[in-house]
Amino acid sequence: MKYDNFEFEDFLRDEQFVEWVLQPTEESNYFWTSWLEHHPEHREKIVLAKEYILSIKIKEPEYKVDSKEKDKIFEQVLENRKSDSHWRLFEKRERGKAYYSIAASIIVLLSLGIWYFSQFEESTVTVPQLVVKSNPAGRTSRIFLPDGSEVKLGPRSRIEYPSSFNAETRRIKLIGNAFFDVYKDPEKAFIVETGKLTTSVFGTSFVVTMKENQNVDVALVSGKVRVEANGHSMDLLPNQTARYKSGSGKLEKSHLDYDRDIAWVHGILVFQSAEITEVIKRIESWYGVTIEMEGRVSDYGKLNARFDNKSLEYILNALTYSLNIKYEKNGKEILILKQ
Amino acid sequence: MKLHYVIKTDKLITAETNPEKFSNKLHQPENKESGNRYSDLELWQMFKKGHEGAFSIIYNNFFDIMVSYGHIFTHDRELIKDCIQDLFVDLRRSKNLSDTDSIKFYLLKGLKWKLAKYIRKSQAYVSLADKHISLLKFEVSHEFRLINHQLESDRRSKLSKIMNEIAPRQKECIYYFYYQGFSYKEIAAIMKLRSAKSARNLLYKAIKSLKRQFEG
Repeated sequence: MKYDNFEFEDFLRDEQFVEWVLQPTEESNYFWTSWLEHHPEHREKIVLAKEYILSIKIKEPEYKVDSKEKDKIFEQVLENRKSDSHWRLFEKRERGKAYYSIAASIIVLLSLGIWYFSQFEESTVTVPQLVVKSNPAGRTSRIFLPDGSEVKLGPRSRIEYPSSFNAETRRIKLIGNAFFDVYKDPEKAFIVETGKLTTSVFGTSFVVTMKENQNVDVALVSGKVRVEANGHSMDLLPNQTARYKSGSGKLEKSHLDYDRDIAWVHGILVFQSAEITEVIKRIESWYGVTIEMEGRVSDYGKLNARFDNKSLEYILNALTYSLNIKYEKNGKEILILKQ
Repeated sequence: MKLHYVIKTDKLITAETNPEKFSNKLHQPENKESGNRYSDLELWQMFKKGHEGAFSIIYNNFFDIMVSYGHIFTHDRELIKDCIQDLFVDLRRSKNLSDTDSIKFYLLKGLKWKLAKYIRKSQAYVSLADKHISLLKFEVSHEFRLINHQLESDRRSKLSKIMNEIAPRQKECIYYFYYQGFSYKEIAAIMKLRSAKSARNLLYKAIKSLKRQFEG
């Protein structure tokens, strides 16, 4: 029999022996007790081996996952929802790659004054029940909300949301630009507040972008969205854009414009007969630089251009031809001069 | 607290085993009506057929073990939770899962690979085992006692020390073999070794180096 000449170490290495020690069954108990009856000389070795094996423990971590968290994860698994861990990897990649297919998404675009955000630093602050995330210029980040909805937060932008949503609604405050992919939940409206405008959806995707004049654009690719401002509301159909005019406080409907409304989500920078001041503001926000300009706006032409995931240098060089400028770059500071 | 008969000789020796340790092993749920337990294979097949009760049993039986296992690779508690969630979602979505007679092995292997994917990407391709297994800390317990035979405390602490100093791969192997109760074949699979024989050799080396240091 194979065990007859076993030494102490041989027992330690034997699968059947270790299995018996760790997970004894009626059969293995029977086997080993009867074997020992016939080989009492092995008794001491076996007792020692068993003791060694059962003495091995691991130091358990100090931080445990409590049963509440365990139940929460269980529910999310039942709802077939993945965690946000895969986004951690995307955050490390360079920005500008197109992550989503627009086809199945609703895009809502809001605009408000960018000047407002220059004060923000890159930070994440969590106060009880309220989570605040913000980006400085030049940075885009990806955030998962407590309900599983995802947000791509643009540069110089900030969102606030509760660490867990209440029973009735999912309410988020936004300043700046953000793409939302809303987890479908017909019971709980997903509401984005942007200044005086609120956008309500029940499970779909949309983008929020804010511009200079505090106008708000809401552009819908597919699905259904309702926008409301100052007591007026408007339902949008796919390929429609609602514009909230901050001056008059009115809502107007128009067609969706991919370049204007959605391109930034894919890292595409588009200018449509843009004045130099707008060009500067958008480049500053996009790349996190400061740009000074010599002369007056009227000294420079208007820009029509589309930059698909291009570097800052590429764009500045393109501007020297199309706008007839010269530029001087000193670290993060850029001076634009007329040629 | 369970009593296990250890060895039946002229004198009956019993040991009070550490219930926590054995709860890792004796995970099969009791089927109260028939008094029988489901085997891992039966439970797994029920789960594959979409039996939510079976899933709930699997989740609740193995969740804590998975969390504890995750902690030997990373301090990132959120990452461990996320990977467990994603693993279960993947398993439930998968249409053609293979059968297994050890659900624990299946889940730990899946979790290790998920963790490895994230940890490697975020830390420039270091080997999970080499760098991260250092979080695995053995303790040689004093709770376990056999009549008339105890490891004396200085030998115990010496053994603990040595066990934490051996090569990471050997350490990981010891963990699977003596703590998780994996077979050599399972160890080979989870550590990506060529064969069960390689796992056996690795453990043999581990025991040898432990012995050398213990006696030296």
